[in-house]
Amino acid sequence: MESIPDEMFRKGRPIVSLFSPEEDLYIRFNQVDGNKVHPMCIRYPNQSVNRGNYSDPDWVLIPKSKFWDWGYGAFKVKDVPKALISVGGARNNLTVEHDPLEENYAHTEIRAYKNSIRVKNPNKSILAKFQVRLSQKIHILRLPVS
Amino acid sequence: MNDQNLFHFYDINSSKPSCEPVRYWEDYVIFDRAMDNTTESLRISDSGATATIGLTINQEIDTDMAPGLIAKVVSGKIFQQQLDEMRHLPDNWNGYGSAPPNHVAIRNSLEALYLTLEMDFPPSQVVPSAQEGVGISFASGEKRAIIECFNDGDIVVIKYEGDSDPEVREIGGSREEIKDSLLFIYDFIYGKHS
Repeated sequence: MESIPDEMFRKGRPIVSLFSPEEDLYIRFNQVDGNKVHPMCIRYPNQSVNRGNYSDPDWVLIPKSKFWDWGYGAFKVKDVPKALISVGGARNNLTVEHDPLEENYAHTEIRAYKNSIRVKNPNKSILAKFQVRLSQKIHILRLPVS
Repeated sequence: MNDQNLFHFYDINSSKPSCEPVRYWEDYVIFDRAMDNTTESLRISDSGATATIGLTINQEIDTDMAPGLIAKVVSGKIFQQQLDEMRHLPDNWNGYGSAPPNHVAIRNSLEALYLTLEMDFPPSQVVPSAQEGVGISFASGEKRAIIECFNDGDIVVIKYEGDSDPEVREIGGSREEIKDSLLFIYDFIYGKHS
């Protein structure tokens, strides 16, 4: 059984809703396009990330038996667009929300809301914009092993 | 195009040209029979000289007779292979909960990919999408374009340059609409088509 760093466990720690705009968020990926993360590596909504205040960057590669050859990168909370508008004019508001798991206290999701209701089936033009906008902001810390 | 320093490829069995003459880095030789682990032969010639070369998919051609020419062999079959591998990705292949591309996304992607072969406009990458589908991407310098084929049958076309805001179009899955989108991408990547 692969060991998980002790500091990753939640151990009863609370949800911390407050984010600094400068806080790092970490994400893993397996494809690049030029010197950027490939937009197809990004999900919308509910993209999982690890928040920098409570994790090391490479913890997104855990379990390493599965993700040893993936890359990882960082972006800032302020890099997440506040809102995105579809081709047809629909608006999604985006939030960064701490969502701790027992084995990963730093787990966080980028969530989307339309008229204050969480988006489950996103508009395709909004999600495509999100994929590109976020990929443009990610600073690659380690490339995938080719 | 000046014929000087162009390299011509011929199918060794039929002696027919196998593709348009190529000259540049990142030119592609489209050779339908070539597969990953199978070496096929092509005859390469330029002004008078000829040579026979064995080729496999994604092999870079760099022969003594063609200094400065580095082309790459691609084939419609390699797309099918790539897509087949994607279809067999496990559920949650990325750890973010994504399903692999399904038959709908694969079918639409193949339609687009065969059109790229017809148009001599090969993509730079074909990758599974975390959004559940397939992304077919094109690149030139800072310019990027993607056709994203989703498992639910929706298709979007995305184009952007560097860090600019992306322009997104939602399109239908008909051959005509996909072809129009590829022309739209071609115009963006390389300038107006002839």
